[in-house]
Parts: sequence; structure tokens; C-alpha cells
Amino acid sequence: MLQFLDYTLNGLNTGILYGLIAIGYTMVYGIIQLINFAHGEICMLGAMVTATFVGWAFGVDAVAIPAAGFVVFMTAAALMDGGFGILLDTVAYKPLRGSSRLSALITAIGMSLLLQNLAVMVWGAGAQTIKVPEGYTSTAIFQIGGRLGIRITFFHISIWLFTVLSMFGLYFLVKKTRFGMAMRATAQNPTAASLMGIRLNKVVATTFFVGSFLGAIGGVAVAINKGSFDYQIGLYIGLVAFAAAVLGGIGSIPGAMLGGIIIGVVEAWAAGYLSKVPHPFTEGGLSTGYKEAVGFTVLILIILLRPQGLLGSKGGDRA
Amino acid sequence: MSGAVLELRGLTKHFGGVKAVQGVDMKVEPGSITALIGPNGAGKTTCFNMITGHYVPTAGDLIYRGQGHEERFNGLRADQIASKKVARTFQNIRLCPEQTVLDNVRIGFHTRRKSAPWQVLFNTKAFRTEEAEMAASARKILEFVGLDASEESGVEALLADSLPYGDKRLLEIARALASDPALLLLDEPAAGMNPQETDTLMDLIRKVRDYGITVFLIEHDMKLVMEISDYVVVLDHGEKIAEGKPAEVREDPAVIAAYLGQEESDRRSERLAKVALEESGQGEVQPGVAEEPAAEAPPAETPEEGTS
Amino acid sequence: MTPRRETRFLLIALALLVLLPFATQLLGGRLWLLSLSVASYCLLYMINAQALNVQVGMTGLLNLGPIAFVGLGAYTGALLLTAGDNALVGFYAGILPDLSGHARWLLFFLDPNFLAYLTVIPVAVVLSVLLSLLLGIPTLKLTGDYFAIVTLGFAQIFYLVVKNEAWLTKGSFGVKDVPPLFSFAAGEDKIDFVAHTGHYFFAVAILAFCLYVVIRLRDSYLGRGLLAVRDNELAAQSNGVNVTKYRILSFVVFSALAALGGIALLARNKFVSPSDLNFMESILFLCCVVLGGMGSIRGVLVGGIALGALGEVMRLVLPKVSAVLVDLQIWAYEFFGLASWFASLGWQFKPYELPAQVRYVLFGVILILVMRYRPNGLLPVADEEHARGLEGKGDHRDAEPSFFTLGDKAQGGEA
Repeated sequence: MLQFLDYTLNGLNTGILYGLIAIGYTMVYGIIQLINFAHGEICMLGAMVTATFVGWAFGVDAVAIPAAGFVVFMTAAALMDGGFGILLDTVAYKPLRGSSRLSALITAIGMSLLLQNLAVMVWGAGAQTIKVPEGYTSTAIFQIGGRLGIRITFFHISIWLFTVLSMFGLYFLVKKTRFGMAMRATAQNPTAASLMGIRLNKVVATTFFVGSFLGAIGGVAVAINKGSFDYQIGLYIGLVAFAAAVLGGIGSIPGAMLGGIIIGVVEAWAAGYLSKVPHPFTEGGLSTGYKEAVGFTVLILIILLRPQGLLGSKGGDRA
Repeated sequence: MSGAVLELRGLTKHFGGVKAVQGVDMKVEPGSITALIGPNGAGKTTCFNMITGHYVPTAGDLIYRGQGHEERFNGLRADQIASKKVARTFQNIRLCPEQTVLDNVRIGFHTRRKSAPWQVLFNTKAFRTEEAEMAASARKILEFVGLDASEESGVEALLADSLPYGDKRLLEIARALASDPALLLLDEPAAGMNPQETDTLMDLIRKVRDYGITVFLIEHDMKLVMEISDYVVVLDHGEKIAEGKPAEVREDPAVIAAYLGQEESDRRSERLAKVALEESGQGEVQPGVAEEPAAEAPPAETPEEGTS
Repeated sequence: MTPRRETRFLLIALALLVLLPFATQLLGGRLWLLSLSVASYCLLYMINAQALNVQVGMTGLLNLGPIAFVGLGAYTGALLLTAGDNALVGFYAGILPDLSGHARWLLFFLDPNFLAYLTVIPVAVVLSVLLSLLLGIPTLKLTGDYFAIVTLGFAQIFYLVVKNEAWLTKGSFGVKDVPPLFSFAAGEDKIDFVAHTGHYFFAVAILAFCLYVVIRLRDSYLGRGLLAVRDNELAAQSNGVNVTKYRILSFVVFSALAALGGIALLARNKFVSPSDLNFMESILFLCCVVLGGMGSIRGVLVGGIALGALGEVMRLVLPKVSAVLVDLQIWAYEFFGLASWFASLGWQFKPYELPAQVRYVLFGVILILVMRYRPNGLLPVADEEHARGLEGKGDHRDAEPSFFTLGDKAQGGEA
């Protein structure tokens, strides 16, 4: 039972990170109907830049990293990443605003390729780590089930806090502000929106900024959670997060978070229990390597069975 | 062949709560040019889409006799219906823009080709002959519709997208004719055409009819409808409100009401009644009988995208 | 000009490919081997890009997982050939006469290894087609973005299955020691020339076959049907094109050709592993198609050569360029006396080396630039159409317009 709880909690933790990253996808798709293939790479860049900043600021071998400093630099990196997001749109996607969906998708793929390998040029292909304040990920704030049970650390608390705040913030932004109304209008009918005086470019740029900022935090957290990461992490979490966005209903922000949580939990269960499932053709259980397949499988099933996702509305052409 | 080429019995199409077409009964007689008219949103293209299999009727029957026997179109796929000698053009031109003019026509032959895939793979003589014959036939069809298909013009090698608008419409008709149809459905063929092009189109439609093909068309251009139709059916809000010869329909108060509003219709009916009364001195007032050509027919409306 | 011009182009290209090993032999041992390696690498891209073009270019289906089908072809071949300790080869060796000397390579079609490969090919093709149906049938109603993503996920799941089901596929280790294409390409009495060029000519033959199939497809109602599905599904249906059938046709042809590409890959490498199934390969195939011009057979051919050559050349040249760069940095460090400056900052001097991934940066840039400035590619279909010119000039010009029946119809009435 405790083990189940452990897996589930782990899943929840990674799940909300997927959700944060998925929000970036869903917001961009809602506005310009583009699958920003390079979003995963943007998140990866957030993690890379954070690692670099923290390393510069506190020395490569530092052990005692002040919490405040860490937050400052991580935020700086995330803001910078938001800027990267805007740059990405301006350089790659904006020029193709009127062209076919296929062109835009291929450009996004090209951008993903480019960013991934640029990252190698700058940071190398080896593993990177983000130095965190001592005890950040290890000291238990709460303990469930005794000393050998589940630990809830600063890390977990902080990402939960951040996520809840972000969701509220986004809700407020989208539903209660004028700018949020502009975003919704643009998502529904860009032509009409621009005729009403809404500056489309500004709306799109802001969308990219917010999505990339959140994605950067998500990327950093994933990197911390995993311990070490490399330039390829963007590809995987990008696809999983996209699956989450589609699962929740593309264009729906709460949907993206919900999708992320579901996939995170199922993934954690898979990692834990797959080996217990008897293999149909050989002895022993299914390989835990299939944990990675969870995201893809969910994605395929959702697209085939319920393309509008859990919280999305029916209708609209996905072609 | 006895009976109408196409018969709609109580044809109905609902989209969720929207009643796009409701209980339409009509017949298209063989060898005629029949027009389906009505204000925008009347359900005309929806009817077409049901006939050609793109929509499935919610209720009612689609009866077809173009192949000599009676068949029911309900539930058949579009490509199955196409193989039954029913061809159509579209409101928004649907060509393959990056294909040549010739290739666009040749797609029309699709239902008639006899080669099997293995013959394609092995490039047999039978296949090559068929391809060549299709090319030659395509040229003839292009000529038939009025597109210059001679060697010198090089038209056939042009990309379809580079044709002027009017020619694109002709090309679509050429493609439709390539399937050797018994019934040709034209969805707003004159949309966007200037008067000269419209006249050419009218000649073409008559020519097609003279060759024995039944024509069923949707149009907003009333001049065209009045001049070439043998029979007109009027839809409004998904229901049939009038039918008959063009001249009859033109004066029908329900039709006038649909196009110009009830007030205008009443006004005209009154006017007509008054005139009739004056002329006869006394007696029955018979509104709706057209005597004066001065009464304006529903005007030619500019065609709009989308609903019909 | 006629269809002949395109045929000429392709025949010349194939002829050049065939002559290449003989020509470059003049350059001497190392360069010869190098050129062969690059050329055979390019061939793989040319073959697989043609296969992908059937889906992406002709049918408008953005398939992001072609490597799965190539990989399936390669794995099928590898597993069947190595099964039972190369039992298949042994079987043929047992029933064929033992030739020696020149007879061995002149009668290569009687070589046990070669026959084993030929036997394996239909199996690989059939399995690949079945796999494509597994993907193609559920996705019949999907287009555009979602279709692309599903194919991507599908390929990744396939990769995971291959990697994890070691009992079937030998897992991460891959299948090693696959028998070579010709028995006289290895062993004591191996013939050097054949050892290095055997798989190359085999790949050229496969490429020729692919081109033949694709051209036959394009110049027929089958190809026109695919293009109609791509350009305007609604109109295609109204012209009698059964969209379901044609999408499946697209998958079948694509996967069959991809499987052949996989066999060519196997013949070249004599080894296959899960790392051959990585997503990057699919992207590179896509690059070839996009760069050359979607739907354009000649274009995709050129795209394949260009990117294959570019990739290989970069891979080979990069270390040298990197070494030069490193030397430059060291020189600058010493020349400008930066040592003390570094020390004061507590930095350590480490010259920057260009990583191998630089070539992928280039591919990414190519994709972006092509989509921006020449979305129709280097040799777009439009040009190809004009190159093909007026159809049927010459022999078929006076064909009977038998499909034109409008003149036959009686006046009115009959229909």
C-alpha cells in the first residue's frame, strides 16, 4: 500500500511538471494552431541555462548554495527562456504565418533539431546537473509511513506551490484581464480580433513568453528530479508533455495540467508495476523500459479515440 | 427509361439541432436542365451533398434511375455514387492546383478505367494504350468545354492553378464530364463569372443537355436560371416552397417573400390584384398570376461562400 | 520535351552511380573506400526518401516514423539470416554446386548468400506492409498534425519494443555477424573489389527498382488518385476515388520500398541495432523529401544525394576542422599571452572542439530555410511537370479518344 502511495506521489510530482510544460504547448496551439515541436528544446534550454547560471554564480564545485540565490538565478534563466520563446516565434514561425500547416510543422521540427544540437555545441553532449541548495531535494519536511517511507521535501513543496500559484495566475490572466480576453479572442478568430484592434503579434509573443517561462521552470524541475540530464531530454519530455496537452484537450490550460498529472501517475505506476505483469511470450515481467512508451501510447489512443481530449470541446478540424 | 433520373422523397438532414433540409420532395426529369434555387442557407448545397454521398440523409429517400434501374443512394459513399454516372462540380472550385490541366481531367476518368494495378506495374501494352486514349479523350473534352487543347497552346500542360478563374470552372466541368455521367450536378457554376463568361457557360450547359446528360444545378444568377432551366425548384430554410417552370416560379409570392421579404411579397400581390381587378372590371382577384413582366423576379444575388 | 527527358535524367543518374566505383578506384585505395562508403550511405537515403515521398509527397501524409519500417526490414533480414547459425545460407550452400574462381562472381545469382538475401526480401516486405496496415488503418481519418504525431509515437513504441524484447531482437546489442551479401565477399578467398562494391551495386539495383515503381505509380490512375487524395479529398471522392483504398495503397507501397531500404542497409552494415531506429533518421529522410521537392521524384533523388553526401562529408571532415580550430585556439592563447589572464580569473583553458552534432544543426537550418524560401524544394514538381511537357508526344499522339463518348449520346431522353 505504501509502495502504491509512493509511486502515485512520484507520479503526481512528475505529472505536474509535465503539466507545466504542456501548458506551453496548449497555449501556443490554441493561438496559432501550431504544434511547437521545439517547445521541449526550449524547456531543455531553461534547464541548461539555469545550471550554467548557478554554476557561474556560486562556483562549479560549490556545495552550499543559498536558496535565495538559487531562486533568483533560476527565475532569471526562466525569464531568459521566455525571451528565447519569443525569439523562436519571431525567427521561425512568424514568417510562415500564412503558409500551409505542413510548412510550419516542418519548420518547427527543423527548429527542434537546430536547438538540440546548438545546445550540444554550447554545453557539450555530456550529462549536466543543476546544483541545488543543500537538502533541497533530500530533507524531508513530511514523512509518511515511518523513517523508510515516503519523503516529502522542500523540492516537492516548492513545485506544488509554484504550480498552484501559476494555475491561479493563469486563470486570472486569461479570464479576468483585458489581455486575457484578447488572447481568447485571438484563439477563436484571429481576423476578427485584429479588426477589433488587438495586436496579434503582441498576443502571440506573450503567449510564447508565458508558455516558455512555465516550461523552463518545468524543465528545471524535471532536471532536478532526474538528477542529471543531457541535451536530448527536451525531445522526450516535449513529446510526453504534448501527449498531456492533447489528453487534456488541446487549447485548454487546466486540461494540460490534468493531462500531465494523469500521464505522470500512469508512468510512475508503469515503472513500478510493469515488471510484475507477466510477459506474453517469455518468462519474467514486462520490461520497465516501456515506461517511456506510456506517453506515446496515451497520445495515440487519445488521438484515435477522443481527439478533443478530456476537457476540450468537439468540433474543429485537426488537419 | 421511365421515371425521373433523380427523385428526392421527403429528404431530410439535421445537424444536431439545425434542420438544414426538411422533407424535400422533388424530381429531376431525364434530359432536362433543372435548377435548385433559394436564398443563402436554404439547404441547396446540403441537398447536393446528400445526393453525391458526402452527407448521409437523416431521413427520406434518394432514388436514382440513371443507370436504367432504380437504386437508392442513401448511405452510399461518395466514390460509390460517382461510379454510378453521377458527376458534380463544387461551389468552391476543387481542382488539384499543382497538377496539369490534362491530369485534372484524367482524374475524371477514374471510374471508367479498366487497367488493374498489376498492369500498371508491368507497364503492359493494354495499360499504355488506355493511358494514351485517356489523354486523347481528355483533349477532346477540353475542346468540348471550350478550353483550347491544341498542341501549340500548351494549355494541357499548364498547372491548373495558373488558369484564369472562368477557365478553372470550365476545367471542373470538363473533369465532371470525363466520367461520362448520366446526371451532372453543377453547384453555382456561374459564381464569380462576368456576363460574357456566363453566356458561354449557358451555351455549354445547353450543349451538355443536348448530348443527353441531365443537368441539375444550383445557381444564384437568376438570369442564367431563367434562361436555360426547364424546371425550377425553390428551397427556403430547408423546405421546398415552390416549383415549376421558371416563369411560374418567378411570380410565386412565396418565392418573392423568401428573397425579398414578406412585405415586398404582399405589396406585389396587392399590386397584381389591383391591376387584375382594374382590367377585368370586377370579379375574382387572382394574385400570383404573372401578367406583367415589370414585376421583378428575385434578383441575382452575389454568390457567397459557404451556405447555400 | 517529353517524358523521355525525365527518363534520361534518371538513367544518367543511375549510370553514374554504377560507374562510380570504377571511376573512383583510380583515386587509390583509401579514397576509393571512402567514396564508396559515402556513396552507399547516400544510396540508403535516396531509397528511403523515395519511399517516404510516396506518403509525404504524393499522398500528403506527413509520416514521421519511416525508420520503423526500414528498421523492420533490416531486422527481419538480420534475424532470418542469422537464425540457426546462418541456417538459411547453409541450406543454399548445401544444394548449390560449389563454384570457384571467376565463376563464383560471374554467377553471383547462384551464390548461397545472395540467394539467402533474396529469400529474405519478400518476408521483410510482407512484414513491413503488415506493420504499415497496423498504423494505416486506425489512422484513416487523421490528417495533418495529428497524423504526424501518431506516426511519431508509433515509431517510438516500435523502437522501444525492439530495444526491450531482447529474446526476439537481441535487445540493445543488436544483431551482429550477419552474413555478407556474397559469400565471396568474405573469407580467405574473398575478392576485394566485390567485398566492397557488392552491397553498393545491390543498393543501386534496389534504387532502380524503387524508381521504377514510383514512376509507374505516378504515371497512372493510381498516382493520380493519390494526388487527388492529397489535394482535395472531397473532389477525389466525387470522382470515384475510394479514399480508404488509396491511403492504404500509399502505406503499402511506402512500407514495401522502405523494407527494401532496410535490406540494403543490412547488406551494407552487416549489423543492425536499436540505435539504427532513432528518430533522427526519420527526420533526415524528411529533409531529403522536403529539400528535393515534395512529390518530385527527381527532386527527392537529388535531395537524397545532397543530404547523404553532406552528412557523411561533414562527419568525416568535422574532426579535421575541429582539430584546426583547436590548434587555432591554442595558438591564440599563447600568442596573446592569455595564460595569466585565465589564471587570475580562476579559469582553466580548454580549447573548444566541434562536436559531431554540428551536422544536425546544419540539417535543422536547411529545413527551416527551405520551408521559408523555397517551400517547393530544389526540383519542384511544377518544374517536373513542365519537363514532362505535353503528354504522349510521338507514338501515342494519335490514340483513339475512346473515353470521349459525348458524341455518341442521342438527343435528349436516353441517358
